[in-house]
Amino acid sequence: MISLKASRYDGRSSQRQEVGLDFDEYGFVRVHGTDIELRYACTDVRLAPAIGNLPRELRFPDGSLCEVAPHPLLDGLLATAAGQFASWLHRGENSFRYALAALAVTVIVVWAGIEYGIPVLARQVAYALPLSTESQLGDGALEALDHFVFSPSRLAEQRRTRITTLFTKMKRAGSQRRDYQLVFRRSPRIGANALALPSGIIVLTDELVGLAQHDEEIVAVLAHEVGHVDHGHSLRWVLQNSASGLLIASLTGDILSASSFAAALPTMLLQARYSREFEAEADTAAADYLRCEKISLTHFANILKRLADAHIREGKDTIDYFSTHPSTVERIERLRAIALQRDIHTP
Amino acid sequence: MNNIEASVPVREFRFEFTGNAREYFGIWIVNVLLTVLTLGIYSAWAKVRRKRYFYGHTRLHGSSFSYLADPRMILKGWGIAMVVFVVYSIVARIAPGTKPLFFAAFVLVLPWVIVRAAFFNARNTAYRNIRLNFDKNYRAAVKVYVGLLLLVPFTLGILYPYYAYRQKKFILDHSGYGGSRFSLDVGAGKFYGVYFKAMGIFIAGLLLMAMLAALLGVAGMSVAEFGKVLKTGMVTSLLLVMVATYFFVMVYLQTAVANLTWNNVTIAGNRFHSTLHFGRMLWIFFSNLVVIVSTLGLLAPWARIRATRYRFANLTMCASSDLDDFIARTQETQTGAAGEELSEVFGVEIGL
Repeated sequence: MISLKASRYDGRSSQRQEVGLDFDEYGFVRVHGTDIELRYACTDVRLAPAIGNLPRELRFPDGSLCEVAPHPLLDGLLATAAGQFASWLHRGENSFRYALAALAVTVIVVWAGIEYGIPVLARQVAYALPLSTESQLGDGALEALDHFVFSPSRLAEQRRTRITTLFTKMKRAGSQRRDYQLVFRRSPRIGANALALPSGIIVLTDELVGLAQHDEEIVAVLAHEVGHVDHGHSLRWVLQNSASGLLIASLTGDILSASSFAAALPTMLLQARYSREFEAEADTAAADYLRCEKISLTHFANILKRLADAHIREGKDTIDYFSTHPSTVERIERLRAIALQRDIHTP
Repeated sequence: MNNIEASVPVREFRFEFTGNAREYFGIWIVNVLLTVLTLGIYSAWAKVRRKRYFYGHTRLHGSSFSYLADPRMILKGWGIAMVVFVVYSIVARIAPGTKPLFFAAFVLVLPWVIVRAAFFNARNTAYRNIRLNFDKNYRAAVKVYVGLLLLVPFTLGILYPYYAYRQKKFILDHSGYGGSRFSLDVGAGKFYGVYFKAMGIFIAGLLLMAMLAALLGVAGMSVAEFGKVLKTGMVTSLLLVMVATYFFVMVYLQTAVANLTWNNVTIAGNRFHSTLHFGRMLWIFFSNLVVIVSTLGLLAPWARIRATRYRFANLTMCASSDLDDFIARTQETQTGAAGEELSEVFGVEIGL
């Protein structure tokens, strides 16, 4: 027979009674104390799964509760609601070695998820969805931009036709995944820039055209933007950020609410990281196109450099702590590496 | 104070939180691992284990609290909340024009979410084997969470402290333990006092920012190279002041509102006494944030235990009896957890 001391709460009033519990060899438990003498079959008693070093909770069919200091034999005497898994869990939680192992596995899984899992899944989903899904993303985007940041282009008709011809040629050479469209806009607000909208519309600002010293430089920029569209970056961006937001929320959910301050930081860092990957992918696409057209990558590097200088000059980069674009130096280095590789492979 | 109350000997029972970081770390890391491995499914069980640990270590007059929620209910609620969250985040990105629609829908379901969440939490919290309870008064909830909330913008926010007060009052006045009801006995004026002070902190921050901005203007006109360096420094400190102001205001509001609320709650002639200190809270929040960020979240369990311990160390119950006289009240126990999970995902503040 096993005897334990317990605190009993009858479930009808908030009184506490100190009682004794006797477990006999016939599968019964006797609850006894001042004015109390009760007997239950052990199979009717529910034992809440152990957690930490907290007292174990025994719930009886009449709604009463007994709290007992943890005892190694309790799980053998009474059936736990969650069974074997619960005791395994409890052992894992209380062992320093298991905690370390859990930590290591968590870090690996989270890292792999962020690095490979989410991007690969997002790519699969983005490519599997019909093109119209992504086009819908950009519906109305140009109108909104026209309203807020753009004004009509003031480029000479001749210059525009020239660039459009170059662009049409690129469309024919590149993948035929969708209908691209090139539009010209002026924007003192965002300065020299090019944007790819999800619907396949590529916006080129007068300021960027003005910054370019060769047509090849504009071709490089356009090829980069086409790369964004070809790889479905806007849809993948939405998918990846939603997924990583969920991941962060589930990780920090135990710490903070999803909307809190500290949870925003890792989400922001992840977003920046993903968009840097997209830029690199678009750069590679542009480099591939330029090589096919036998255009030197130097042109691409030059316009990148000039763009960066222009942005710094206009003071547009000063507060860019979480820059979503990789640094220009980094990008030019990468282009140089690509060029070098190509030189080795092409005799 | 009338004579009858004064004649009852008041006993002080301190709340006490006995959890420790080492023990909780193991529970936390296993929770995180299983949650990630099961793609979030385990989060329901994780939540129950975490809450059972924290409730079980919260002690008052020799007895502890218990958390009784069924993880399967939480999982169901979590599933609903996730679907809503995913639909919202994708649709809001694809068509930003739908945001007002979402907002309208959100305001309309808010009372339902709040009431269900409060009910779920109350019914799954027990002390001495008696559950808390919550009266599901949707009509009163709509008055506060739709009526008052929609009035706030039209009064340029002047109504906000009153709204905050009515929120607390709604939750507390409808909550009970056993056959007794909680009651918040304080006027809205005290809440205005707290929010005025918060406003003062905010204005001080704004003044500091304005000063920096003025300096920034001067720097912009000065010699090119030196001006540039100065400018970057200024912009940085401007941002820092902004974040610090936000932080101060948030912590002040949390501290002051918690003290004000607890110090004016009664249940069956028992009162509470909360003595949270603003400076101390500021330090705990700030150092916790620094520690969590610099250990990439690894010491989050420690931070959480520490904050909880401080909160309960500053809460006392001034009881007129031995806490033995509360009688259980029958109220259904099973309820969906969708409200609770929705409020958690969208960061709606409820609770005491």
